[in-house]
Amino acid sequence: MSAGGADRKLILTAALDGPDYARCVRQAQIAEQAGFHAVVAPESSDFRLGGNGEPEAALEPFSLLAALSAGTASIGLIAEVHAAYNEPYHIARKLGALDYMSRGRAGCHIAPGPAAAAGNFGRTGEGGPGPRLLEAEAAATEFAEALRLLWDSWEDDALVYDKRAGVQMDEGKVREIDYAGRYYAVKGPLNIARPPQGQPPVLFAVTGARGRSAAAKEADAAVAPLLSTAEAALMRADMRARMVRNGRRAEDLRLLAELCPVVAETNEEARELEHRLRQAFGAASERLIFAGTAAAVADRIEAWFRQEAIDGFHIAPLPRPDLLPAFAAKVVPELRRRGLFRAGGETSTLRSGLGLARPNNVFATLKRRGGSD
Amino acid sequence: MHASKRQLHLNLFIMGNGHHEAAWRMEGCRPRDVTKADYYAGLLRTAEQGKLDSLFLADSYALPPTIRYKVLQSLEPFTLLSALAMGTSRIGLIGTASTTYSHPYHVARQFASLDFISEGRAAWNIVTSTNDATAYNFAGERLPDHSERYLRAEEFVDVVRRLWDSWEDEAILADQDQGIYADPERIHAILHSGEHFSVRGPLNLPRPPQGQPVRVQAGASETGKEFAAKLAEVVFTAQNSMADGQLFYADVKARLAKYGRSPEELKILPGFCAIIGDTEAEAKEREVELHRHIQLDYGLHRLSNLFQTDMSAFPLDEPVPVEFLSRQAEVNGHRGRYALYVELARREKLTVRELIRQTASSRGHYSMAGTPVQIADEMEKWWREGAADGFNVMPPYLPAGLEQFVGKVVPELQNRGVFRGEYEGTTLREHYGLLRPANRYGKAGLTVSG
Repeated sequence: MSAGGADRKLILTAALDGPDYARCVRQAQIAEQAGFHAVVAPESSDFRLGGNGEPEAALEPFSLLAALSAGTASIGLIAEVHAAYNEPYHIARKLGALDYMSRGRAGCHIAPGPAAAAGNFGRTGEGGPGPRLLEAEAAATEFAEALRLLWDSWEDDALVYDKRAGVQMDEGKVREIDYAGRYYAVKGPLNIARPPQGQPPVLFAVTGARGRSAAAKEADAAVAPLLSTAEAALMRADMRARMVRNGRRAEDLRLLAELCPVVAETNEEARELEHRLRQAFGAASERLIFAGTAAAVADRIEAWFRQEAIDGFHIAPLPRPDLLPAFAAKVVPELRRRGLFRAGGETSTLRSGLGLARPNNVFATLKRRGGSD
Repeated sequence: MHASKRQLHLNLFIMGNGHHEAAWRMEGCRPRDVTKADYYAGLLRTAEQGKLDSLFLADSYALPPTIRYKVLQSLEPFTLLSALAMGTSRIGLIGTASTTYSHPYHVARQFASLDFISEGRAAWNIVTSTNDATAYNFAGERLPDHSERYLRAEEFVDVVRRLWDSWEDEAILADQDQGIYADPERIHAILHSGEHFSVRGPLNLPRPPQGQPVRVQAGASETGKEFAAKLAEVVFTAQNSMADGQLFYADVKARLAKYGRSPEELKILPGFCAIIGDTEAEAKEREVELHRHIQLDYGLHRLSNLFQTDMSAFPLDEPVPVEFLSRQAEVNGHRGRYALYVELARREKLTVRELIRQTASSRGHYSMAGTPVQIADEMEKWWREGAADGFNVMPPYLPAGLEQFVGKVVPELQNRGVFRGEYEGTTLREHYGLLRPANRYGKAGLTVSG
């Protein structure tokens, strides 16, 4: 499976936002009906006041996505995880459960976690998340590595359920992983069988050099705040080189640009809206905004996509509730008419939707190579 | 509070393919269903038709050493309960979280989220972790000792409750569709700094619909009972007989007064495993059939783990070495369950093989094979005679064991007027007749539910 070629299709994901469950359900349904590949439930490890002075609140991502798994049929369900404040064992189980319940639609976006939240996770007399925060990207890399090993702690065919013999499992196909990194130590095995996708896809945000290095080691997809096609091309070249250095194939990573789409009836109206949004975001947080009529926004998307530096876009939380429905209703059909976006209604695993192969079990592979057992 | 008439409470406890350890080997049982959402959704629809108070999912953070015979893998409870909230509208949802290997901020959020998604049906079964295998999954070298775990648990619960209260009920001012319009003056940092945790707060979610999700607990040791009296609202317990149940019930209820609590503020639900037949003979046959499929090796592993003693060293058909086991006072695990098994073996003079069989249905919880009338009689008796406020229903095999219970035992209890014919409230607190707690921040005064 290659990301290139004439039948190359755009990948689209969108963030859910807000503490209101009914609103998240509507967002997920809009995204699913439009044919998006996934929704992402953002994590929030502390209480914050937003730019408008309002408290920002969010449902816990796994509770939210598990509930959504019951009301959706095809869209991917990606949970953001703050590595500094979590344990790989808990998260590996939750992703495993979500992957089973959604029939292979689970994924996670591993972020280091905000330093400001450390005050909520203090442990008296113990280290707490301190070192994990100081070397955040290295900790996130370890976190992803531990997740993969935990999922692989069961071979795919470990469960035999031989009723006659009274035997449930082939014990030779389940093993301790004895993971002992600098930030996490976990013995395993996991207490749930290997998930349907083998390993649910892992996303990283790529910002600085350390984030790129982490993504090049462990990510199946990377989300980047890119502002120009030139910057996108540089990012892709850099990621390609880093992956090759890590012994990975460059095509095994999907690169998504963060986007805020602003669709209006006329270009003037859209530009006026864009101007107001940029003022609200503030100069400190410059971001990629495509503003215009549906055709104009589709033009910008097409230009970026044809350049082949990126594989698609992640629509970050939008400042107005009408922006995502407008994009889904007007821009997506236009992209489809141009042959840039999939037909919609496809049911597949999240992994195969992203054009990624199901990974082999690392322990089973070692065993075969070793010729033992 | 609504109608003062005392009613029996029924919680459904689901584990794998059923509580009997050989359930998965029965004809018609589909063991691979335990990782399918539809399987659980089907069970919950049945339970809700039976107007049961709640569903309970246990949890552990390690794979048991007996995987060859019993894997006990399941879907992580939080994730599963959130999905189950979608297909149901009344039944309560009790999840488990350990105070040993979790952090209060996460636990407060998870239960608050479940309470929002289910519109007021969440409860937290508070456990402390009991084996070293779990410690190794969380970078821990060894398990904190028994009393240390409970001290930590108490502080943990206190922090979680304060986080749930950190937003006043009135903090939300406007329609959430328009974005969240909250009053920051009514949102409070908790600024906790204790022996085990330091947590600034506030929570990143408004106060949950129930104010505070319901607290459930199951410790049976001396420390566990004191913990329950102080902090729990529902207690699950394993009792061998009604007489033992009465002692436990009286003991725990008597401890409430010193914490300024009334007996109605805590509901005691002993486990009850019913093997149901239309005739007594049919029920007994089912029991024999289940027992016939027990794996002795598994039973020995199970007892060895509990007693932390290699039980295969003792002859299968000789009496359980109760004196030897009693001397092992320093057990740092399931203390309550350890004592319960030793007492059962002592009183009934059981051999090792018999103890395995007697505990195969429900691991020491009360178990009986009988007709729906016999089972309803027994339940009503426990309930009327001071041994129970209700039961933790443990179907021996699924889904049929639950269908039989809901289809035959529940109507019998309803006909006797001891169990509800319809749900009267919408929240888990309302089902159990528990008050919605006042918020420690902001305006004083008790808010009453229902």
